[in-house]
Formats: sequence, C-alpha cells, structure tokens
Amino acid sequence: MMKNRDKLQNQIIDEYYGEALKSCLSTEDNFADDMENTLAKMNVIKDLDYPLDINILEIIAKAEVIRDRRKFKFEAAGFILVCLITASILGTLLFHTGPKIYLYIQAAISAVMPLIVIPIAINCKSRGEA
Amino acid sequence: MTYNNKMNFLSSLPLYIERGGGFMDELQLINRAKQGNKSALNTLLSNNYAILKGYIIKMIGNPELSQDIIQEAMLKAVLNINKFNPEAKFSTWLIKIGTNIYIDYLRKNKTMEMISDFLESKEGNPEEITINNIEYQEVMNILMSLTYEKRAVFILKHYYGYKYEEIALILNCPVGTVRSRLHNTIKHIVSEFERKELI
Repeated sequence: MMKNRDKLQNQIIDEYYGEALKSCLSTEDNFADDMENTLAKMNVIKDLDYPLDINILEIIAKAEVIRDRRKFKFEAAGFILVCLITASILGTLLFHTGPKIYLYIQAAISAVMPLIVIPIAINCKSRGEA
Repeated sequence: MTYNNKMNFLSSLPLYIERGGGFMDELQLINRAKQGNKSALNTLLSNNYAILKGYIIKMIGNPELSQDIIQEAMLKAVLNINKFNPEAKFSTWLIKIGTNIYIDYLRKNKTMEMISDFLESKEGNPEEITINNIEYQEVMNILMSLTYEKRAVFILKHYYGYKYEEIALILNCPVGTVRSRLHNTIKHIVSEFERKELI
C-alpha cells in the first residue's frame, strides 16, 4: 500500500516536470495539488538576484596571466631537462672516447645548426606576422 | 572522435534543438574561444553568466561566497576551455565546474553561513511584502536544510528545467539517482510546507 502510494507520487512528480507521459493519476491525500501549491511557493526565489562585482574581461585577463606563467614554467623545465640530457650525453661521450670527440661535435653543430635554426626562425616569424 | 563519443554527441543533439537552437552559434563561439579569441570567450561567458549566477546564489544563499565561487568557476572555465568537449551545452559544463568548486569548499569548510537578506519588492502593499519576505525566508531555510546533492538536483530541475540526463552529467551520477533524489526532495519539501502550515 505504502509502496504503491510512493510510486504514484513519483509518477506525479515526473509528470509535473514532463519526464513522464500525463496519465491523470491521483492519490487519496491530494498529493498533486499539495505539490503544485508548494512548488508554486518555491518560485518566490526563482528570480533571486544579488548585485555581484564580477568583471568577465578581468577574469579572462587573469586567466591569461596564469596560463602564461604555467607556459613559462613548463618551457623552463623543458629547457633545463634538455640541457641536462645534452650535458650528460656529452659527458658520457667525452668519458668513453676522449676529448677529440668534443671538437668533432662542435664542428658538426657549427655546420648543421644554421641549416636548422634559420628555417625555424623564418617559419616562426612568418607565423607571427600572419 | 571515438565511436562512443560520436554516438554521445549525436544523441545529445536533440537536447540543443529542443532548447530552441543557438547550438551552432555556441559551437562557433567555443571553437573561436579555443583558438584564443578573447571576444568569443567574453561572449560565451556573458551569455552563460546569468544561469551560473542564479544557480550558485540559490545553491549557496550567501552573496559573498557566491561571488568567489562564480569567479573561480569562470577562471577555471577560461583556463580549461581547450578541454571542453561540446557533447554538452557550455552552461552545463560551467555549472558542473561551479558545483565542483562548491563541493571542494564544503569539504574544507564544514559550516556555512546563510545570509538572511530580504527580497527587494517594488510592487504590492507592505502586508504583501512582509508575507513575501516570510515565505522567502522559509523557502531558503527549507532549501538550505537539504544536502547539496538534493539541493542541486532540485534547483536544476525546478528553476532551470534541466533534463534528468543533463543533471546526471553535471553531478556525475546515474540518472536513477537523480530521479530518486528529486522524488525524495519534493516529498520532503511538501511535508515541510505542510508541517509549517504554509499550504
């Protein structure tokens, strides 16, 4: 009996909010009317509003600062990591093959680097202008 | 996009159409905002500000705390705009962020103070205004006596007409849980109104 009443009440609530098809249900205790009156009274706070001091543009600017700071931290960490890896590779090579390898590597870098760095720089510049 | 994502996206399309369109506009704004367009981001947040504000104020009942939570929610939304997947509406995502911030706040602060402010009524005689204010206080007291999960379900359903599926997405719980929470909440509110002889 209690379960049936509960089920009916649930059905009435779903119908009220359009989540179930209308089916002219009623309970002995006029639950539908009570619910409608109650929910109508709950609407007293429907348009509740307080004046708040929120500036969306300021929030966007703040987010940009945070994002830039995060990006800088990430880039700095990446740079330090790459430096450490390069230094350790050079150290290992130096230890295993002798100081001559250092000169070969330096010569190779001097020859190859401009061919890599210049196209990248041109690409970055053209992207920035676009 | 995986098969499941595609299916979710397609199944959510009727929700947008049902809510009177505006989906393509919002999608375009989201895409532009993701590309770093500040104006699009501003429009997107401005369009959804009223719903977020109304929801948070009703959830919290304290203007100062509401302001902090709304600001934090918007900040998080801007920072994570690239993570937003337009399977749901932007307002749904924004409300989800706001709800999570409020839950975090509740975890850190066990007690919360509700401001017993009064409604500003421009119409009606003093008697009506007094009655309205008493009703407002009672409604806020009943709402605040609910757990935040039940309060969120009730507010989203009753004041904003969200569907059970959307509320489930916001609160990260099954649809059945949303349904039973709403049923229990409404029965509780009706019984409270009866007990206080307000109806």
